[in-house]
Amino acid sequence: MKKLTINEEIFLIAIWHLGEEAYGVNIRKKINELEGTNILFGTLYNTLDYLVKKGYVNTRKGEITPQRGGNNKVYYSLTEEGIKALQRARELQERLWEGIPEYAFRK
Amino acid sequence: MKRNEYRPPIVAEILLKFLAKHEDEISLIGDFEEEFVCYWQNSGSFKARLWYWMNTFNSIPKFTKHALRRGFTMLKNYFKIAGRNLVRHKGISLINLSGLSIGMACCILILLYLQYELSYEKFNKNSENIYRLCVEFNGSPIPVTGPSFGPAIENDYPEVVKAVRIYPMSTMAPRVPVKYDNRQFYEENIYYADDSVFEVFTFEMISGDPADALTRSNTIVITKTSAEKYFGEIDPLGKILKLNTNEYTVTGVIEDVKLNSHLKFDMLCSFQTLYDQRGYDQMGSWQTALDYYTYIMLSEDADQMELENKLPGLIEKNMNTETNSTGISVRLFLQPLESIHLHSKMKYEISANSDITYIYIFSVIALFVLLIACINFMNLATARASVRAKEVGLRKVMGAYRQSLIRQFIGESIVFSVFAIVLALLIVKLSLPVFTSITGTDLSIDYDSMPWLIPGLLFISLIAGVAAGSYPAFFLSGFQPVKIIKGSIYGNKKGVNFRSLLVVIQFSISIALITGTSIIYKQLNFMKTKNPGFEKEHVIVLPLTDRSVIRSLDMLKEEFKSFSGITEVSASLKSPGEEPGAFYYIPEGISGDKPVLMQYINVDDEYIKTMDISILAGRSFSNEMRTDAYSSVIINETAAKSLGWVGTTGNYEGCIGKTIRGMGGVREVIGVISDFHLQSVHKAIVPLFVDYIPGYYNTLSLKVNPEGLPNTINSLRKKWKEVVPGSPFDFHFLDESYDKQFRADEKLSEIFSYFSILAIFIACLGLFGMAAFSAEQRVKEIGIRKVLGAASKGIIFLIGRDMMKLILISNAAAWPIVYFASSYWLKSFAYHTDIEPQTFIYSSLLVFLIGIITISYQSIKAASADPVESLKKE
Repeated sequence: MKKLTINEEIFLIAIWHLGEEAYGVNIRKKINELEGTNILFGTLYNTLDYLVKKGYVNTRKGEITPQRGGNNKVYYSLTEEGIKALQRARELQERLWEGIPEYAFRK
Repeated sequence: MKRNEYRPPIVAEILLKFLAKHEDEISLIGDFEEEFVCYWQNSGSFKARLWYWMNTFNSIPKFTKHALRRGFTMLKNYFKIAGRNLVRHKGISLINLSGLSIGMACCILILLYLQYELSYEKFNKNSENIYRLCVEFNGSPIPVTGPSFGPAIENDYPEVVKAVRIYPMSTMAPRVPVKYDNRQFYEENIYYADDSVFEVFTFEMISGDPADALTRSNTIVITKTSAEKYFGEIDPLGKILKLNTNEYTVTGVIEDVKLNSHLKFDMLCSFQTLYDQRGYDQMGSWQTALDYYTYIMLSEDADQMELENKLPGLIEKNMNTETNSTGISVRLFLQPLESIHLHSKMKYEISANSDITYIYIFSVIALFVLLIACINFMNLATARASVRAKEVGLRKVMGAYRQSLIRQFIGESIVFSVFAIVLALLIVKLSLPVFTSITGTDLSIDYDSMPWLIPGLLFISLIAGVAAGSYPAFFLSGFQPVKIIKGSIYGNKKGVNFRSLLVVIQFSISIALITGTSIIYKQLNFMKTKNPGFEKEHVIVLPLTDRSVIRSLDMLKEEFKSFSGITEVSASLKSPGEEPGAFYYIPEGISGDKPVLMQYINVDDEYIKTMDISILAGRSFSNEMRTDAYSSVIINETAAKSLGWVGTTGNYEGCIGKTIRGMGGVREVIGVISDFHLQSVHKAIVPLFVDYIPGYYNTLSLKVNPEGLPNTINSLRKKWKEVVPGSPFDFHFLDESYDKQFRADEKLSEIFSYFSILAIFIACLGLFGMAAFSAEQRVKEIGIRKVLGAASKGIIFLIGRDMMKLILISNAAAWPIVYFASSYWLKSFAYHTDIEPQTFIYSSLLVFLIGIITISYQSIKAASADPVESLKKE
């Protein structure tokens, strides 16, 4: 199994947070909130496409709202694979940081 | 909420839609708009629109990367299929590829040449503001002015920033002996120039001060090559060069003059020297001979037309009105520097110019060669397409869209043509040295100066690729797969007609080029063999540049005459082939004393005998008649006729005893000689004034006996060294120097013949491929015919017949075009050959023969094949 990159990890976490409400605009907002930066639309969709291709995420067509100019929403949700990958990432993180006291990298 | 209220910028939206074509990305447009609406409500329309644009642009790189990755898979497939096809049909692919790349290489070479010709003078930083001051003298324009014009125009008109006067030393003597230490050479290209020459023109100075180099008398600036020639490793600055007997101090070394300059010189002497030699009176006069080239640089905002309109004032102010009473009209005009090389066709040009017609001719050839190559490419691709019909059928059965098939075929031929471009560039690189030596230029593939070259080539290859791919792409992809697989589209009539048309175009062009070449050759031959009216064979010409030689001229003549190998010796001002001067003369009995422009040569008493020019009336000069020198003249036939002295009787005796008044005084006509070509047959023979002023000579002509010529020359050299030890012995043959005038035409015919050979070669490659293809297609038919008893002869005829028919049609198409084009070209010659039907018939026969040879290989191969083999396979 491949390890997730930090970017993918953030995306998956954002989707998990949003649950039923995970579509483009919300995901971007969430990521901006989590990461504290402003990500580009290009990055957003490329990464989402990639996650879909990898099988971490599923898509589902949603409703059309008037603000969207007649375009469907596309909702994203985590697959079994995606959840497993997140778990593995978390375990890895925890194992990595185990035994390192918080003051270790302070100046 | 209505959508119209919050409308995103349309252009940005379209751009976004274009970028996000992919299925998964449809939602993003909605996402974009949703955030956009939100933004609008919070911060207003302007900020929202700005945001939309910003985000669209920001996303472009990411999206395009994505699209490329997807597109690449397709491209990879094209490459693969194109490669497989290339390998499967090695022979035809090779023919196709080599034809296209040779054609493209030709086209690139010609483009390079055109670019070079068009780049004349562009190296001058101010080239757009530099003009040459020219004079229209009684309606005939000449590029020369007097020495006083330059300073006057600079002083009188504020828009003239600088004026430069240039005076070629060759006006006085064609070759000047130049000496430093023990190194002595003859130099032809030495100019006198004002010190402002470096301000107006861009000649880069390597050492010396450009502002000061030519201000003083007897200073000289030399080019790098001449510096190496005379001084080698030594620093030339401050050294003394001896020109004739005058000493010049070297004050500067410049880079060699670019070949694409119409000023071609190796040395520049200061103009001040001329003032010292000739005196301020003569140099300031408005009545001297027009021998000086004047260039002026205008200020940035000056207008050429405006200044030209003011120029008559200059004439009125300085030239007295006396000239008006004699009926001579003088008008000044300006000629842009950049137009000199291609558009100026005056007498007395400072160096030989090219002609814009050649630029047109070459552009047309370039286009033709490229067209032939592209047609070839199309033809073979089309022919092969029907073989690939099965592939198309299968693809369609498997669910290929028509669009993707079109894309595949066009893509494939584009790949092919791009490959051909790469090969073409390679060919250009290899053949450039040969090409530069033929054209006498210093071409190089310089991508910096030609930023359009690579995109242009890619564009050409794209066009060729699309054109070649479009037939199979649109034609084949439209068929029903069932029909294709069943094979019922074989032998399609429409395709054959289309290909036939292409072959006809191709061969028409080839035939036109070959016929054109042969007409050029004929004209060249005509000019070379036309009797010039004097004896140009076996005449040795010796330049008399040194004053000391002229002083001992009589002695030299007597000495040379005593040699057994020499039959005649005579001296003259110029020898045939050199540009003679022309002056206005007022002949007796012309109404209103209207001056007549006549060419002028000065000869001695033996010249007419030496040159074997026949005398129609009167007698030649004689040194026994005291009155001959300075007071008599001989005129030519044309002069006698144009002066109206002959009448209808054709009797020239009436001219004898009449008088002509000119600058040198009044002369009495003592003889009329037959017309002879003082210059090449390009130019019509004009009235000629043959003067006899002893001592005013520049060349010595010796009629020699062809037997024992090396010995004669050796003894000549020995005698020369004995009589005039300081002066180098330097000779040439008259026929050689006279024939030099045809060099431009020779060059044209040479280039023309090379390209027509290439054109026919490419066309034949195409024909070969077509014949191979049609033989291949009819393998079974031929097999059955043979089984049923057809003779080989019949089968050869069967294959060849169709092709031959096409060549015949091409002949009919090419002939009228060639006829009109060549008669237009021939009109530029005063004397030219006739266009004979044989020329057409011969060149058509030649093409026909080449065609037969090309096809026969294939047809004989097909005819001699074993029918069992061809019928066995299924």
